[in-house]
Amino acid sequence: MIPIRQILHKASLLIILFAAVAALFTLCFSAMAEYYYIQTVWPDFLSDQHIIAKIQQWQEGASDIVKTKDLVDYCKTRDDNFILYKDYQMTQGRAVYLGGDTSFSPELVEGRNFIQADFEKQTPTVIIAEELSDKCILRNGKEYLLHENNEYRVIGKFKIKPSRKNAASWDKSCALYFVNMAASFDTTLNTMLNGNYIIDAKEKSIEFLKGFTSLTKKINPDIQIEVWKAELILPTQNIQQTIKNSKHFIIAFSLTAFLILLNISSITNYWIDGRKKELSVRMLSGGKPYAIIRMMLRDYLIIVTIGYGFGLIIGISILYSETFSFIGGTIYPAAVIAGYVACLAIGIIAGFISLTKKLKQNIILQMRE
Amino acid sequence: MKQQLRYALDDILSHKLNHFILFVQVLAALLLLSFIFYIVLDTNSYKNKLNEIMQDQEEEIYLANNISSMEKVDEILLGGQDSMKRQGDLYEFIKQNPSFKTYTADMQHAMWLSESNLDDSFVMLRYVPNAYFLLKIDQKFNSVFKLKCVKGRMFSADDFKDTGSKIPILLGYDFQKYYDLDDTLRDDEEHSYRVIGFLEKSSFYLDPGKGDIIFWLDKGFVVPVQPNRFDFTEEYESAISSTFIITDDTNYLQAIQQKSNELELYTFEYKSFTEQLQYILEANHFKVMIIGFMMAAILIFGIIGLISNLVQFITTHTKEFAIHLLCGGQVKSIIQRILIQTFLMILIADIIVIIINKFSLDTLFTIMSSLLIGLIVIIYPVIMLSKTEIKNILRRSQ
Repeated sequence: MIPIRQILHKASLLIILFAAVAALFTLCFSAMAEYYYIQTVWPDFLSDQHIIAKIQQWQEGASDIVKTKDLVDYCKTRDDNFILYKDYQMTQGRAVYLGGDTSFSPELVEGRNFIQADFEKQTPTVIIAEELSDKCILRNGKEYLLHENNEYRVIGKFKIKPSRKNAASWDKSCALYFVNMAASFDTTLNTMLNGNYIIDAKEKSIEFLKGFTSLTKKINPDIQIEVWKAELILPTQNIQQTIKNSKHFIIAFSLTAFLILLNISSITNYWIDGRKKELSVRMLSGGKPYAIIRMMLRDYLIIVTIGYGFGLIIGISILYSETFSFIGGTIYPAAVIAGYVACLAIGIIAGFISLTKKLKQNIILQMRE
Repeated sequence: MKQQLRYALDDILSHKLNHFILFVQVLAALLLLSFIFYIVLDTNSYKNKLNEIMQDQEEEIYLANNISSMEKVDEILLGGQDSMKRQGDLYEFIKQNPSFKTYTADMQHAMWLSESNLDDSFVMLRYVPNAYFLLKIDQKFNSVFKLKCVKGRMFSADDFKDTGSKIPILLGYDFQKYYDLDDTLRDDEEHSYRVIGFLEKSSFYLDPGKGDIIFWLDKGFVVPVQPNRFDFTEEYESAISSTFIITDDTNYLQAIQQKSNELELYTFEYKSFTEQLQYILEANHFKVMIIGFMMAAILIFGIIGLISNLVQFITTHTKEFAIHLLCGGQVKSIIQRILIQTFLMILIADIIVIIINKFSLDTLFTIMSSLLIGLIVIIYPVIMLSKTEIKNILRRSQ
């Protein structure tokens, strides 16, 4: 066994180089993993079985119009478990109605979540992302959020993932607040039902919509309801989309890593030169070139691993400091493994090329210089 | 010196690949550095201009973001005469309120001129050839932005009322070679405008809600807001959303919202200029952080590479240097040789930066930084060389 001190002789630059590359890879792969997660998991506790209904109706010419109140009344008649949202893209908010037990469970940092009584009693309540706190109106020690001309009392505050806040598309972004859809404001309940509604009653989502559609057609036969189902996307498509969404970071990080790796040849040669005498002794003692390469390559990969270890610590520190919020603050084991494999692959290629070149030269003659 | 330049070139050419790699690293780092300087200087210039505007005001300026849902806005815009009246009431409530000051600066429209001989530099967007920058202002706008005319006159109080068939218009400085005072312009919507003045060079307008952009008015049209002529609900919506409130008392902002709620109109989110400036600074700080992170990583390895390259060069040329010194040469000329090696590379990188970024303050700062990088690189090799004596070299080579 060669002592580690011998392996590390003149290896400090190599360790620094691989630490830098490893930090970049950790950040790059973590960003990709985060984008993949965003791509594959629906936001706001929606399942793969949710549907989106775009409802449109016009006041002019209509005998009667369907109002928000009709939808709320319909929800009250349902005894199954469902989540119903109305999207407000302008403010990145959602009006919510929850039926029964649902998966709606924001990571609360203050206050409480919605309870059935909020919908039954039609309380004007809202739960908000903690970063919206400074946008609230303070009155009599209570906080209110202004939404569509009405003030909703804040009953809870939740935490959101920064990377979810501005996802590549609106349907993958999380809401910054949820207002009670059933809130007893005349202006809200008697408003013409228009816009994008998301229904998630798991396998009963279609049935939920069918029931509501037949009700609305009775009130306003001219109402238009377009429906989209949450598409089941193949993992390969998800990966493609992930690469597309994170291409800027991939390009930036890989370009930086590439520019750093341009030094790999000279730094590797510097390390090999440090063991020139040992190599020549081994060759003089009848050591086979492939056996020497294998031994040196093993030592080289130990250096890569040490460098990767340092780089991983740097990468994790940057991730936890949330300096780059778009990457997210999560360490994905897949990202760590991918980063390590990439570093090993680079190490094997660079080490092999440099060693082969070096051993082709007459190392014994070089020693005499 | 000439001799040293030749030697240095020979040294570079004998290790082409090594030098090329280091050059690429230096160039990439300098390009990223120039980009950082560009962002920093640009942000600073914007910050100074905005502070200039804000310092003239005794109170804070607030911008109004209309955060009503699309459905709500559609409902208001399609509301006909009733909606016009309600919006008119709200606009009047804001504009005539004695409790706070306001100004309107509406950029939501463009001047559409199909028949004009203006050159391409005047168009707002390259892919919309007939649309030109248009700013609609009210009477109080000038108390904040203090625009002045180089020729003609500014708007009078009467210009903000219904001026009949011809709307007075102010043109940016650069229009002088195309139009004269009292010329008439006709836009694609059949509105007629009469030129009453040309703005001073480098007149500008700022709206922090639109990011850190300084809207230079040299190639812009400025017309008065004339509420008496409003024919469409959209015109009110545009004017209301483009009205800025000057007050220190946020209760007045709530009062405006209250009035809007009563009239069943829009929901606003008010942001102060200070708050918005902070947001812009944070966004730019984030950009600088990312680019700086990449630049630092590349630069560190570039510098390490350059230093180790020079140290290796000195080590491998020890015998040559010994002969040079024995023949009466000076250490100074060897130092010149390595200085040329280093700074030649930096000089070429600087030339490329100048070609890409043109001559500007950020280019100047980049060049200065590149010289500093060069100095950092040569410190150790120069110290190493300056301590070189013939006896030491001979002893080392034995």
